[in-house]
Amino acid sequence: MKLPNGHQVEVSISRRRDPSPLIRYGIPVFTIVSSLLFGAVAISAVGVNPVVAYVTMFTSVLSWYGASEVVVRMIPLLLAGLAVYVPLRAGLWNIGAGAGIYAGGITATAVGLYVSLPGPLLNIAMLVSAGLVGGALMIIPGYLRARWDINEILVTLLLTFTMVQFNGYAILLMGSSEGVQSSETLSALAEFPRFFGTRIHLGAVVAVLALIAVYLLMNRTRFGFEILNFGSNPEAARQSGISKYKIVIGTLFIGGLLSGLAGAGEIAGIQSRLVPNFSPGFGFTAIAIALIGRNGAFQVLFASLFFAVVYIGAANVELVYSVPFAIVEIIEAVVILFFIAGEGIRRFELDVRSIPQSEDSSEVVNA
Amino acid sequence: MTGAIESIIGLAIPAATPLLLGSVGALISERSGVLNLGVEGIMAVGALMAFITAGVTGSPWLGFLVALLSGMVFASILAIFSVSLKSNQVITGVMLSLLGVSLTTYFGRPWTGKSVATFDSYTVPIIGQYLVELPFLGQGLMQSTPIDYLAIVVIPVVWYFLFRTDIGMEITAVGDDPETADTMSINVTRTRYLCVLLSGLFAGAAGAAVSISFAELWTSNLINNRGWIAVALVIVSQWDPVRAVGGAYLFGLIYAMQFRAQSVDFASFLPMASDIGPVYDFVFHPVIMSTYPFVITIAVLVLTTRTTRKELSAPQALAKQYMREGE
Repeated sequence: MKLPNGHQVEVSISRRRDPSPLIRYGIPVFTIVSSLLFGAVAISAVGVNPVVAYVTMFTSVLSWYGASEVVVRMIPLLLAGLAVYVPLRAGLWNIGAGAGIYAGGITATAVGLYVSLPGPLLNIAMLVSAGLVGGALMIIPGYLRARWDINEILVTLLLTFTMVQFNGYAILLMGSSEGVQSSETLSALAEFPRFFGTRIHLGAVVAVLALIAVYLLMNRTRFGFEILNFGSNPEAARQSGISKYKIVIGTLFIGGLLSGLAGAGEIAGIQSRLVPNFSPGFGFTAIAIALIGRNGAFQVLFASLFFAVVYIGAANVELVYSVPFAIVEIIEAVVILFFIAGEGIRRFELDVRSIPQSEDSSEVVNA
Repeated sequence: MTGAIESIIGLAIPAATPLLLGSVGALISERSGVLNLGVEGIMAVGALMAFITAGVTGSPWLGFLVALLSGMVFASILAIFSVSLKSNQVITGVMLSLLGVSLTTYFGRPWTGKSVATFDSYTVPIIGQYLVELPFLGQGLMQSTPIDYLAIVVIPVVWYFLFRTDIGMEITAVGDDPETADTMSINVTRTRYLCVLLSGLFAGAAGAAVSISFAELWTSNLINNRGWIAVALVIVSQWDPVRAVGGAYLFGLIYAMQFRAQSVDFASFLPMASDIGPVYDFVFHPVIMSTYPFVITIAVLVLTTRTTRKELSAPQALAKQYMREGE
């Protein structure tokens, strides 16, 4: 690019050797602050005072009921977040947590409606079958990736849309009557038990167990070590005798299993019947959660807490000030985009230099 | 029966237009090595901007123009992130889609249910008045909106641009092997920026094609996964704009069939349909048909990739960030 004074502008990007503390600690702050500012602009654009809206958003979750609703929302987000997190540690992107959620929800509904088992056994059968079907579905992208190197991102993404549509078909199959947009209602026996007089259900126990299991898997087992090895350098891992099939199919199977459990929880714990779009963007939120929490299973927990608070808070803001609920997805997308931008700034530095042009003699004389 | 086929084809052609424009956009960007998963979001932005502009000014052409520009502006986010900040293209694209859909849902609410100036259907001059009588295809081909014609006319231009111009060759070089392209003093960054912005232009046009040419309305879920189908179409067409035409009209046909499934009995076209009752009911169920674009794409991925990666027509450097040595 040439400046009017004849100087040449040179823009170069180079890897930052040693990020300064200002950059390291400033970026998370910058991410949160700028996302909230962006959200504030959107909120004031519909004629609501953003400060009031934010105060409502974050204080509404401080009540007993609000906090319990946050936990309820954390159940699918944590499970789906872990479902993306485990393959991510192996360097694989599972964009299909949504597919697993729908597969699990459909399976749990079918087992709950048509299988008769005594007492808690039915709930366990619903969970196990939902997890297995979710996992089995993810073997498809796993096998295709391991065998023919077919991009798992595209296959998991395509599976998500396939399952969203197929859910509509499953509803018709298990529907109570013509024209009703839901399946038959689960019996009280098939519904997950709820605790403390809130909507917190059996899925919370499952999610906590899954969190511990994933933590132990990644930190205490040989398989977890192999996953990390494969994720940091697949070629070196292969040469040290780690099976590509085992890692790729295994991690995606675990991802499908966890998201299948999330789907079972949403249906048997909250909806009590199969409904369309019962996973409103959980699969995509899970990507954001896994990206922020990618350094450890417990970071995934905190990331899912953050997004659950935003979800529940925004639902209240919509109720009180009729700010459209889409504000959640706006904030979510912007948080991730600023997070990625921050990562870029942390890793690279931009140099803009203006250099006097040598062939332009008059400029050289002036300089 | 002729009437049924005509009604399906008459719907398939305009339904294919946004898919075609969107997939050509995604294709240009992917040929330079940048995976654009933001098409769904860019289409949503283009659709709403076109709708609002057409509503305020009363001119659908102005709406179309604004959709092109806003598509480019929105796509520039992807360019800045994926090319300059070298971010993960998958995450950036998915988040851009989420942002575009949620922003338009959020700000589009006052426009839901409004009616604005949209594109009218025209009969092709001179030959149109005769060819419109053609059985099956006549109505759909000869009586469409300007955007439907534009989508078809622009394909040879894109083909020429990608395969017969120097810039097109540079795009392919950058998409296949950015290191070598760089040593041959092709500006990788500039080429990729150009392609991402062009893809925004096409995705914006695709959005306008939905809101002010095909559906002629605005709702929060207007794009309804058309952007993702467009991304899938790039794979089905194997990164070739001419094949994208065939793919787009195939997917348009599937859309029209599922839309018309209530009123048309497909069994009357198939002699053996009565023998395979349950299978027929499943295969031609409108909900099952809506999964076909995605299932077909997975099948195409498997069939074309089962060989080694070298023989693939996919750009070799697709979704990989380019960094110079020492960066």
